[in-house]
Amino acid sequence: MVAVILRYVTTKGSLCVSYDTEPLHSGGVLRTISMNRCILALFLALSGVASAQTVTSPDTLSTKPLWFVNPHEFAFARLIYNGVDSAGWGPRWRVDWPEAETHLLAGLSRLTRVDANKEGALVQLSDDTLFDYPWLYAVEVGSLTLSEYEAARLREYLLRGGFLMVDDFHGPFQWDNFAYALNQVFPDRRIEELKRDDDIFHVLYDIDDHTQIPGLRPLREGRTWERGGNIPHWRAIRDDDNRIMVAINFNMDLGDAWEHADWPEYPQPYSAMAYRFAVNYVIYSMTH
Amino acid sequence: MFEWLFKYPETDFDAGSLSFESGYPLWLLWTLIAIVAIILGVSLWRQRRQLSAPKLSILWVLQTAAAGLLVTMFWQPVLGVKTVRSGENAVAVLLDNSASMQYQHQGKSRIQNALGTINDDISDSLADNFTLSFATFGEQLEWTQSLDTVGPPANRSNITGSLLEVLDQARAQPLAAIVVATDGSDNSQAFTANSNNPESSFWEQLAGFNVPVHTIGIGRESMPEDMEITDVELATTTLPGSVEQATVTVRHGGSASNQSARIKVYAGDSIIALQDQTLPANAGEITVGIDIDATDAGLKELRFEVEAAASDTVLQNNSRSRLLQVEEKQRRILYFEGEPRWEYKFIRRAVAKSKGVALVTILRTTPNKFYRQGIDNPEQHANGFPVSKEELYAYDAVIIGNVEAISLNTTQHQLLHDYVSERGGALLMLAGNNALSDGGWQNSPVADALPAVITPQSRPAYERIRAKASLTSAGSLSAITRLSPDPETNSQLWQELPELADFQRFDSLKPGANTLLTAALPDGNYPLLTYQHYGNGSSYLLASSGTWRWQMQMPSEDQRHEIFWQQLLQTIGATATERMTIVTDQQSYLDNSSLQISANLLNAEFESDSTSVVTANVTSPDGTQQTIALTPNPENAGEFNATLEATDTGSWQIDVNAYESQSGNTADSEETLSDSPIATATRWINREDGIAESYGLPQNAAFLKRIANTTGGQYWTGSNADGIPAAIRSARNGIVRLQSLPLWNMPFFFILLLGIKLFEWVLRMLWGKL
Repeated sequence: MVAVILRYVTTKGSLCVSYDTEPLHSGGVLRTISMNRCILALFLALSGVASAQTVTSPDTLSTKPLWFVNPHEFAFARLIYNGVDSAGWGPRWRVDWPEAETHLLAGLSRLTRVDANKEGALVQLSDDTLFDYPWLYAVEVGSLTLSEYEAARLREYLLRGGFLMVDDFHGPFQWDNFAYALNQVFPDRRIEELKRDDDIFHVLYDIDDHTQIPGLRPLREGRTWERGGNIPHWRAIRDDDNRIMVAINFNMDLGDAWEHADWPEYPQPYSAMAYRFAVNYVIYSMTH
Repeated sequence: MFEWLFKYPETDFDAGSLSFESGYPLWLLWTLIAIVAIILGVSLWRQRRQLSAPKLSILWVLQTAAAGLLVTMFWQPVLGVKTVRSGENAVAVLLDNSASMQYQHQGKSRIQNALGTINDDISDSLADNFTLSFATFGEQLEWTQSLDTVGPPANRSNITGSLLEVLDQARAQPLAAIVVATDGSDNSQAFTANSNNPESSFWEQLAGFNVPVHTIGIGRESMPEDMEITDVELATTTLPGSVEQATVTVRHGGSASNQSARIKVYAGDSIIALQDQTLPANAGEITVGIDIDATDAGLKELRFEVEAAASDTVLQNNSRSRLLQVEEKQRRILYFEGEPRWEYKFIRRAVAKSKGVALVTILRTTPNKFYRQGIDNPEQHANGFPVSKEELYAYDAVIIGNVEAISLNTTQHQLLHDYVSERGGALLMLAGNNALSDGGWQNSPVADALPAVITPQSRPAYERIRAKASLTSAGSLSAITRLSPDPETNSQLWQELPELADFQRFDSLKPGANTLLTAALPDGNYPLLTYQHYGNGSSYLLASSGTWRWQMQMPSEDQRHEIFWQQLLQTIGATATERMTIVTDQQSYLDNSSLQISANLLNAEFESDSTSVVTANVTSPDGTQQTIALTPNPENAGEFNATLEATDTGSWQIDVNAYESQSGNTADSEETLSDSPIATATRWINREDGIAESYGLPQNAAFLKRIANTTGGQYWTGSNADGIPAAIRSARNGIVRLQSLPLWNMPFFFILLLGIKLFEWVLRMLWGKL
C-alpha cells in the first residue's frame, strides 16, 4: 500500500516540486503545488517510511555521470538523499545543481594544484560507487532523512576516511532535523563548534573573517539570514583522531554563492569567501 | 695384510720413496733385462713349430718378467723413509675436558671413551719413540703429567685456542705431532666449531706451524633422540609496532610419520608466539621463521623453546635466549608531494598510529605554496624540498609523490641521488601523472638509483586503470607485505583486496631489482612494488597512487591498508644507515664474559668521523654503572672499539655516546667536548653461564677432519686410533733420520715370482707342451 502511495507521489511529484535549478532569476515562477500531495509526502518523509524507498532515483537522471575509475583525482560528489522541504520544494539534494559545483571546480582547478574533474558526480548512500568518492557534499540537509541502512552506510563511509560537507540549511527547525539524522549516523559523537584557529580554516587560506554567506533569495529580500538562522555556525563532527569527518555550514548558503558567482546581482565578496571556505574544505579533506 | 705382504706399513710407502742401494748404474739393469728378454725370445722362437706365435709371446712375457724381477733384486731395491728419532721428538696429547665430554651414551661418558683410546691404544706405543706431553683443555689449556686423572669439566671448550697455544709454546721444540681427542664442539669466542669463515686466520695459522694434528672424534655424529635449537637470528633493535622475524634453526633426529615440533617464544612467562613445524623424515636441521610483534618500546627478554620429545635427554639445549630492544625513537620520513591527492591523505592516516614512524610531509597545494605537516617548527621546509645535506640527511627515508622533475633544481636532484648512494637512505617513488617518465625523471640522476629503467614514453605512462595487486614469491617472504604470518592466509588477504584505480608503466626492471607486488592489468602482469639496493642505501618504486582504495573499499575495521603502509615505511626507514651503530661480537654471551664492543660513527654529512670522542656507559644487571672509553681504530675510519669484562649474568645495557671534540684531537685527555652527544646508540647484551656446552652436542666430525687435513694429520675414531703411532712415526715432523728399508726380501716379490712361474706352468699344461 505504501509503495503504491509512494509511486503515485513520485510519478506525480512534479506537481508539488519546485527545483532551485529552475531559473528563478530569469523570471521563472513557482509551480502550482498540490497541497494534499505535499502534505502526504511530508508525512511520509517525516515518518521515515519514504526514506526506505528510492523516491528520487538518480537512474532517472540522464545527466548523471557514472565512473568507476575517476578520470581525475578529485571528484565533487553530491549526495542524493531522500528529503523534501516542508514547504514542498521537492528533492532538496539537487538544489543549486549543477552550476554550484561546476563553478566551484573551475575555481578549485585555477586556485590550487588539485586535479579536479570539471563535472560533479552524483551518488546515493546505497551506491556501490559511494566509496570511490572520498569527498561528499550534501545540500539543504535540513530536509535530510536517513533510513537505518543509509545511516550505517554514511557512518561506514566516514569511518573509512570519507569527508562530508553539508551546507544551506537554516534555523532551529532544520537544525533539529539535521541533528536527528546525524544522530542516527553517530549517536555517540557530539557536534562541536569549530574554533577560528582550527586547521580547516588555515590549511590553504587563512580565513579569519567568518561572515555569514547568504543565499540569493534572502539577499533579494535584503537580509543574509533565512528561517530564523541569524548567526552562522561552522560546526563539525570529528573522528577518534580528532580529524573532521563532517564539516557543517549552518545558517549559510555556500552553494548559492558558488552557483551565482557569475551573476552580477550576487555580491562578489560572498562568492570569494565561499570559494575560500570550499577550497580549504577540499584541501583539508585531502590532507587529514 | 699389507704389512705382511710388503714388510712395512702402508704409511711408509705413502710417505717414502723407492730407490736402489747397490750402486750399480740403472742403465745396466735395463740392458741386462733387455739381453735376458732377447735370449728368452730366441729360445722360444725355436719352439715355434710346437706353439703358435701368440702363445709363445705370452710365455715370453711371463719368462721375461720373472727374469727381470730376479735381476732387479741384485740392484737391492729399498724404501727410503724419514722416521723420527726415538726419544728426541715430542708428541702432545690433548684431551677435551669440557662439560660436553661428560655426556653419556650406553653407560659410558665421552671422556671415558677418550681416555680409554688414549691410554690403551696410543700412549704406550707412542712412548716408545716420543716424549709425550699431556694436556687437558676446556676454556683454558692445562698441562698435566698424565691423563690418569682429569680435573672438573670446563663450561666452554676452546679447541682452536688450545691448539694454537700448544703450537706456539712448542716453537722451539721438535714437536712431531699433536693428538687431540675431542667431540669437536668448539664454542670459543674467536671461532665457532661449525664455522667455515674463510676470513678467519685460524686455518692459515694452523697450517703455518707445519705440525700434523691428529684428531680423534669422540661421540656420535648423529643424536636422533636429542632436539636442539642451534641458533636464533633476530634483529637486536627494532621500532615500536614493528614485526621482526626470528629465524630459528632446530636440529632434530628426523621423523617417520610427519611428527611436528612446537616452537614457543616467551617474553617473561608469557607466550607471545607459537609455531608448529613438521619435521622431515631425515635427521638434520630445519629453519623456521617466527614473527615477533614489537609492540611497545622497551627491552624484550625473549626465550625461544622447542618442546622436548619424550626421548630427549638434554633439555638445556631446547631453548635459547635473545634480547630485542624496541627503541623509543622514531624513523623520520620525509614525504614530498606535488599536489593534493587521496593517496597522500590515506598514507598519512595509515601511519598516524605507527609508533615507530614520524612522517613529515611537504604538500604543494598551489604552484607556490607548501602545506607542511609533522614539522618541528613553522620555518621548517617553508620553501619546499630541502636544499642542503644537513636538512635532507636527517631523514631515514624520503618519499617522492606526484612531482615533476623540473620542480627540483639540479642541486636537489643530485642531493636526492647522494642521499641514497652515500648517506644510505631509502627512497620511495610513487606513481602519478607528473611522476617517473611523465614527470621527466629519466633526466635526473635520481633515475640511476631507481630499481626500474625509465625512458620517455610515446603516450602517458600513468593511466587511470583497474589494476589488481598480487604477491610475488619474494613478496610472500617480505616483512613489507606480510598481512598475516601464515603464507596461505597472507596470499588470500592480498587476493581479497580491491583493485587499484591507476597504474604507471615503465620500461623494465634493473638487474638487481626485486619485485614484491605485481599488478594485473588487462594486457598482463607488471611490477607494482619493486626495490633495489643502490650504493649505501636502497630505492623503492610503487607504480600506483591508488592504494587508498584498499582503505575506502574495505570495511573500516579492516587494517590491511594501514598495516601495509606502516610496514613499508618502517622497513624502508629501518634500512637507512644511522649515524652511530654498535656491533658486538655475539648476540648472546654464554659462559663468556669478554665482550668486544665496536661503534661506527658518521658525522652530520654521513662521512666517517674519527675525530669525536666516544664513550660507553655500561649498566650491569644489578644496576652498577661504569663508563669506558672506546678507542678509535687507526685502520678503519670512524670505528671505535672497547673490551668489556661482563662477569655478572643477566642483561647488560651499553649506551654509547659520541661527543664532538673541539680540537679534533681524541687522544687529548683534557679535550673539551660538546655538552650533549652528537650521536647516541644503545645495545643490550645477554650473559648466561653454565649452558654453552649443552649446545652442539653431536660430534663435529667435519670440523675435526678439516683440522687434520689442514695440518697434514689424519682424522681418527676410537675404532682405528691405534694407527696413530705408526702414522706419526712415518711423518717427517720433528727430528728425523733417513732410513733405507730393504725390499728384496718382501714376501710379495716371492709370491709374485712363484705366481708367474705357476701361471706359465698352468698354461703349458693346458696347451699340452710341458
